[in-house]
Amino acid sequence: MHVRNTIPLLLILALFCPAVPQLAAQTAGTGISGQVLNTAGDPLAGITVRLEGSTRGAATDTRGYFELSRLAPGEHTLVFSAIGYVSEERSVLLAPNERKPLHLTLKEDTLQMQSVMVQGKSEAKLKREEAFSVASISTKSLENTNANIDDILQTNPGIHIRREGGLGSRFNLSLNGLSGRQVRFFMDGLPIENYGSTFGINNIPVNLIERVEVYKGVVPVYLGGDALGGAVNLVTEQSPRHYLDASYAVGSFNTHKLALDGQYVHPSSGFILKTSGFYNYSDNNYTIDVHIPDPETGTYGEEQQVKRFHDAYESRMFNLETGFRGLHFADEIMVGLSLADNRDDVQHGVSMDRVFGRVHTTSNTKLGSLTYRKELNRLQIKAFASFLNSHSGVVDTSAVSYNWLGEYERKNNQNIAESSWEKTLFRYNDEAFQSNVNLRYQFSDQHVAVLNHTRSYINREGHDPISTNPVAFADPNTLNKNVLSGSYKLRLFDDRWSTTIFSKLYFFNSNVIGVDWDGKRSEFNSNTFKPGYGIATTYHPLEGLQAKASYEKTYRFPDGYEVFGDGLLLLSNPQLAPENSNNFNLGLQIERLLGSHRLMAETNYFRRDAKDLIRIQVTGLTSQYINQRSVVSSGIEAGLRYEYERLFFADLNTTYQNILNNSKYENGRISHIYRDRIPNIPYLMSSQSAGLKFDGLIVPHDRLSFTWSGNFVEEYYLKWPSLGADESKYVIPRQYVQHLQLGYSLEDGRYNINVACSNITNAKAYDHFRLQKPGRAFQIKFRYLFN
Amino acid sequence: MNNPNTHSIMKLNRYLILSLLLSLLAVLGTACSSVTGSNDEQKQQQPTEYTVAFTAQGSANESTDYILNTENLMSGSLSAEGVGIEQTGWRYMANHNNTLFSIGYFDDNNVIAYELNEQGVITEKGRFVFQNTLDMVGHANKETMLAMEVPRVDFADRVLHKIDVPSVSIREKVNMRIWESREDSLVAWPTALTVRDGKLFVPFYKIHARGDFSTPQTDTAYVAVYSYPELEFEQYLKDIRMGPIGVYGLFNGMIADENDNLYAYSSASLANGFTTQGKPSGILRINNGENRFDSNYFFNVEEAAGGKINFLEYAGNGKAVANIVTDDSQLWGSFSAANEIHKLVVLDLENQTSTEVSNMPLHGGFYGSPWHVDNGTVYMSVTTSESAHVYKVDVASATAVKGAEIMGKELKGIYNLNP
Repeated sequence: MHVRNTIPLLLILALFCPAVPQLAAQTAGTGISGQVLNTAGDPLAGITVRLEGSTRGAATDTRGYFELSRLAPGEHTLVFSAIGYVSEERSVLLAPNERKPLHLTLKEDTLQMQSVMVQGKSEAKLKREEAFSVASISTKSLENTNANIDDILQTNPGIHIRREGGLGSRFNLSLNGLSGRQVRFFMDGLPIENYGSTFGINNIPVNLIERVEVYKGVVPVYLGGDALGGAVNLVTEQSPRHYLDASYAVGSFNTHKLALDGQYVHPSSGFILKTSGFYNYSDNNYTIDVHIPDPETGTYGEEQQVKRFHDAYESRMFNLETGFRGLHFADEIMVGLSLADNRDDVQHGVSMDRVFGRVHTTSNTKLGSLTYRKELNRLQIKAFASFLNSHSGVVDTSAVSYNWLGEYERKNNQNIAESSWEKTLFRYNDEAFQSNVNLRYQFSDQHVAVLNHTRSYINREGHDPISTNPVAFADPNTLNKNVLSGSYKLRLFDDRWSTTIFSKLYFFNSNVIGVDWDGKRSEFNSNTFKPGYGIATTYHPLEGLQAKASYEKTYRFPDGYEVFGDGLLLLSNPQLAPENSNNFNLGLQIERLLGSHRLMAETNYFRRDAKDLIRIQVTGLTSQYINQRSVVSSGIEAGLRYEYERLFFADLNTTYQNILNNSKYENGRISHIYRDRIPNIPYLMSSQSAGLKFDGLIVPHDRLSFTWSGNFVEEYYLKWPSLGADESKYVIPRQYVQHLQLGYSLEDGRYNINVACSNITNAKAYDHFRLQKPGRAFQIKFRYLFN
Repeated sequence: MNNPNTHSIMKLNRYLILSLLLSLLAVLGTACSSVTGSNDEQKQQQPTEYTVAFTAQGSANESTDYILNTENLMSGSLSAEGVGIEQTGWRYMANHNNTLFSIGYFDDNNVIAYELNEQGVITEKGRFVFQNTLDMVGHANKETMLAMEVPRVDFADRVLHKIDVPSVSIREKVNMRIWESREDSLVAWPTALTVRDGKLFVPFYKIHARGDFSTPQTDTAYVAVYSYPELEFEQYLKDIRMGPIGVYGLFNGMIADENDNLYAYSSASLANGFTTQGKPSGILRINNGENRFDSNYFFNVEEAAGGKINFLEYAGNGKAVANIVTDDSQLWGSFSAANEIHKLVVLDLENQTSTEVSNMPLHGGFYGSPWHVDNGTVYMSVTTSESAHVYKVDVASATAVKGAEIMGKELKGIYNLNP
């Protein structure tokens, strides 16, 4: 039926994809497989198939097929269900090594409305239906692409990520106007703020992650932490089965990315072995436009194009986890070990006028973890503990001065290092302990209570073998955070209305010994307690229509980094107080299915009334975090998605945010910039994407996909908008960057190849003042998936 | 499944709608971006008397300096709202021969020079890049500004830059040490660059080489003397009647009167960054034509004015205007704009008397050399804990008049750039 469409596509394929040998699926053992159809005989996708009496299950694919393998011989009952359909049960008796087919037809549930969704609810979708303002992004459809997690988040309303440069460069995620450390990152519900930069969303490949949940402003208690502006939770692959996902991508700027994720399950003993890892490397030697100053006179030359020459980045992570599932005392018990490191060449300072050719930073992390899960009737217990040891260092030992041509001269002064005042080999060592216990008690279908305790402890010690001055953290500094939180959820009116109330109690304790410029040592202890609380409520007046409102009084305690500094350019500030904010969200989402057309729309209004914000204050070369600013951020975000069957989709997301300075006083004086827009933060962003997918195009079970995406950010001011003559004002210019992807898969996604072109128009784009991002780049990714 | 042709048509339509939406968005975006447009260009067109470097409020990464013209320093308010040439980061400001130099610091390592064009509009004259910092500036001749890179740590070269003012570029860089003692682990921090009669005078104070700016020795005043323009070291001038000359971050360690007599002041105050104080704050003189301190001249300002000098500017007719520290309890306290620890006095350099300027509140401190002297009057930006205003000081009567309110942190300088 697709013949007419195929010819040009075949040509494209012939260009990009050499023939891939067709391999038959080989699934041995006892199992059931089959197909689910509707009464008209069309296949039904996304139907949940649950194996009764176990947690196992499957969902039908686009052609209505499902498969449950490695079942124990004996009788099994399968339950087929989906919203809008009458559930069906089938019992099957299996002999050892027998594979039984099972085909059935589901009837539409005529009692429900006509516009019901013909789809089982994915985990991501269930999350979106929570009362919280949450973006839940399934990475399933993106795992063939070259994207890192940050690329995927970027396309969602209310989320904006700013990067300084290429792969591995520093990033800043902003969520409804709050950003940086105000947004906390979690992995499988556990805070990763101490894990080091290798665990950043700009490093983790999409293949290691099943979905990403982004809670905006109001964060449920199971993410036990002190997030001021929201939380990003990365959920790793949760499959109960064997799987192996291996990929390799190669692209412009000598970029290589390897990712591996796999699991072995021994069915009878419940033994599990999980492993994951990645390797990222890039020279980041992309072309930029610069004016090179004359070494003698200092005057700028004409603008010219040069390649970055000292910006390579390398990161590695390896994780091994092993344990058992289905023991009598534990549904799951696992121990894990992770090793991660990175090395980052620093190309320039705050501005591109200071070029470096030798400075680099290193970091490595060793992490041990223990996970325990058990369900006792109505009580779910989850416990986790981790211990980590990490080292971070700066190597800046050369008194040279580079220009953009890679040429260098000796500094005027042989005592001044490239990036710092003094030559340095500063290193600091973090030891961190983290634990989390989550108890969930289901009183009935309507009432659920959750109790969570999260503790994080970090100890930092620093040394510099070549410094002639006292160094920071020569005496250990410690930081101890405890968050005890509880919530109660009530669902009424046939699940149409659901409300969660919660409270989080924060206990913060720090001990800092600071050494300042004059070598004076000062010790500072603090014990702070703050109570936070909130409510989230949602109502479904009609199927497909949902209204949400949520509020939280949040706190964020300063990180070790902010209290201790980095020992290089960042000074310590032991007196730093927690930031606090009143966060409010109001949202509406609609989903309509009209024949083959599906339309989804959501809009959210948000308001963040934040006080005592911790801001970096720069003084010459050094900087320090201080409590300085009150800010009111409010805005509206809207998302629209249209799908035509599985063939076509288009997405449009737009965010407008107005972030105003709400500090009436500056250093005791009446402020003249009160209610001015906070500078150097974008206020209007939009992302768009559209794609086509063709299944069974050339051979059965193949898929061709084509995706276009664009990212727009309106120009914004570097400094206070109200001040200065318009023609003299510095701006971060408007950017519109577009990307294209072409993917082809065989055997239901077992073999995949993806070709991508990012920044197809070679647009000159900046997220930070005068820090130019990469131009047009190409990448190709190969992926093998077995599950 | 449906006919694939209808797919593509619908797909097309959807695409069209999407594109329309996008264009709409772009239009909206353009509309939104025209914020706070300034229609104050006329303001700049008008003949101007003064150019000011205006520092906005806010933390360093939000706030910055704006260079703008004003005809009136004495009434209404001074604001950068919609006017002024925006600067990038923290800047030193220095006026040299009607050219205003905006000097960045370390990471923002460039200098931009401005002048008034024939219409009196502030225009960029040129810009150049330097390697690390320019910490101290001085006047050599009409065409030459001096600037020195001073490392903060260790025994290291100080690099004197001769800046060519007409072309706004570096003409020559000369490494020098000024003074150091490895035995005592002390190095020199210069506090003025003054050229007179083929000599460069570099007063300095001694800081610890470990870079903490501590000053274990403050019992002697020092000036290094070089030939100019050759920059051959000639001698050190020393005097034990007062402590070290000048203050970190201020350009005026040494000033000249109409007769080219040089006056060097010593602060040696805790608030000005001196960790030890042994001698009274005062003024020594190097008479015109001589290369030594006048042994008959020592003005004990601490005794006359009741406090140590923070900053000194020559005001004409043998009079100088000075900030005097009234509360010397906090190290580096003089460098905060809102820290009200300074009073203003008029010093009679000849008769060695001090008169407190009336109608002048206690006020905070600053960097560089921000006061503007004009024919017996001195204009200055005065910041208190409550507000900032321009004050006009009549030197003869030692009285001040409060002028325009500064709708920002402070003025880093008041200049007359008219040729």
